[in-house]
Amino acid sequence: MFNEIATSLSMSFSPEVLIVLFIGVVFGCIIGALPGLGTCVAIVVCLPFTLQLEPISAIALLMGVYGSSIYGGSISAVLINTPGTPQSAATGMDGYPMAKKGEAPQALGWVTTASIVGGLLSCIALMVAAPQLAQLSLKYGGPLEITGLICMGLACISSLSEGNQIKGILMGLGGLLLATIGNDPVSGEMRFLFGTENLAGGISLMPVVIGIFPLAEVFVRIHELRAQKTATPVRCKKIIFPKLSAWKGRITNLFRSSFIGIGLGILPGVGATASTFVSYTTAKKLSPRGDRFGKGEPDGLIAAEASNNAITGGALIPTLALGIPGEPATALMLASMTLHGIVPGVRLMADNPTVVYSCFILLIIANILLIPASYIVVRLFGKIINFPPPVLLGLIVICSLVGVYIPSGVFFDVPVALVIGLVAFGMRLYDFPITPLLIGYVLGPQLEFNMSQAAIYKGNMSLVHYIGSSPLAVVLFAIAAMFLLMPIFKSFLQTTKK
Amino acid sequence: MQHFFNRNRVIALCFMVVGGAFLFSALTFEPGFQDDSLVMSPMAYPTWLIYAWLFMSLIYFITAKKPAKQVDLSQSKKAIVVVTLLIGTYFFLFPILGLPLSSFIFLIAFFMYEGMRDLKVIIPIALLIAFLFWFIFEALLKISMPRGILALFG
Repeated sequence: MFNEIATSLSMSFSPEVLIVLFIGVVFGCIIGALPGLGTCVAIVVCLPFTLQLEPISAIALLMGVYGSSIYGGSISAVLINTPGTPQSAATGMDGYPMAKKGEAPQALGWVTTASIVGGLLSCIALMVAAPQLAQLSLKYGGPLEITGLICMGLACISSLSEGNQIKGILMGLGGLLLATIGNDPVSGEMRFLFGTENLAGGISLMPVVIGIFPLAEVFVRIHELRAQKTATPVRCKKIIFPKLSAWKGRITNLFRSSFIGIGLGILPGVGATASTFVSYTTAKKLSPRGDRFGKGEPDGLIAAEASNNAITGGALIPTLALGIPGEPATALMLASMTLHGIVPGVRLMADNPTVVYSCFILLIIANILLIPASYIVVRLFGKIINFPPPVLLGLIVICSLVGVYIPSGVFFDVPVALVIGLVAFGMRLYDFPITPLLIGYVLGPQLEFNMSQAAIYKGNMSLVHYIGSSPLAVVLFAIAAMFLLMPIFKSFLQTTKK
Repeated sequence: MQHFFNRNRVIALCFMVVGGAFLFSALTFEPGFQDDSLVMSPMAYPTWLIYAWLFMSLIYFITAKKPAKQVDLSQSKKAIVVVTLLIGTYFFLFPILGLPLSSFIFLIAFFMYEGMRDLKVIIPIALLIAFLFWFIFEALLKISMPRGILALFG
């Protein structure tokens, strides 16, 4: 273990990797700060660049972007009340009132400090918990258990659709179904070609990701621009960090919120946005200044920021150790690593421990680099955010085209991305959560492959006996069934009550 | 009747139609070869998914109420169609004209449609962005992109 850590340290602290990491941190902050773009777009835009880099530099770039983009989203949440990322929505609830009072630099100081502490605590949790989880997963990591685990992760996605879980389940199933188009992973048979040979290889990941995030965002922004939804800018050119004495009575909130973020981040499907609001409402209930929440209270900023940045490390635990992405950003990280020949999953910790430890170390450095990056980004942000919307949207469209075309070099992917973008825009307009679609799409092939393997292992045994032979699988399937059926019964009960 | 077929129920019906198309394709599927070692046929897993999708669509249809908020597309409908056409044309022109030229044309058209009329402003911005993308991806990173008619100029 120490040899691997030493190797990872020497790899992570090479000048080239550190430069790439810093570029990633600054870039992640900028993209995160631009409303509507967020972590996924930042990762997607970086993907073509990573293909030209060594695997360790590519991971550094991705970790930098991943670890900083949520923080970046909070900058626009504080300054223009427009969260750059959904995870930063709670930050704006107290940050913007502070900014309107002329305390934007102070608000950004609280945001930056809480983000860094939350992020560092989550990295420590990642280092402590990931190896144990990986060992457990190796012990119980047969195809049946993996199928159960994937089912549990998929069943969790219903919670991503607050208010109407059925929509979440439908989107998750849509993602799974989309992943079945093309080659069968076991026999190689072609399915669902609908008369076009172009679908023989299936629908690639990039058109799906680019369609549902940046391209759908372009249509949403066009729609909003026509509906005259604008925000008033607040001027801010620097950050003022809080003095040590100002932390008196707020430390408990900082640690509690960080641990909520880490805990909920580990659970697949809960997502950063939900976790941030859980942390915010908990802090509102427990803080002595709870009545001032929503009016510019730093405790609210600490709760939201510590939690949403702590999720980065928490969500990486199941992603790296089990190969189960808890949110779209980690699903993208998973996919990006696959593009570099690193296969996240139960064997990653055993087969490639250097990669895992490098991820930990790079994420810790990325969090520390947020301090210099924040100075640069706040100065830049005042200017970039004032770009006319057409210029910003035009840039997104070109980035999307390049992002779709480069990985495969197949032109067919380009119109597919546009179609998916339009469908995703419609889904977003009618309040269908898009995240489950991506999670379903990413996990679908793994689910089918492991199910096929489990079916072979089952042999002549009855299904009940086979599942019963693994207590862990029974528990996982039971939890999955509970998560899946609960919203359906809940919805039925609500309908009958009304 | 109009209340019964509200927006959410129409969406549920659309989902059922999509599920029906997949189900038809699954039921009429003929395997290219027979492999006895396979326990699960290539269509077994997708067929379960399709039934689950149809079941959930039915649940959504049954439980769907009249939507609480109306989505007003009246002001943006035309813009969405035009922007879709612009992006579609850009994607179509990309292999014919190459990245820099197609991006330049797209940006000019997009800026003008979005209300930026001053050619002295939009031409330099479009040129700068198109050049930047060409420089980063083709000149700096040496990524092979379709060159289209630009190949004629070497």
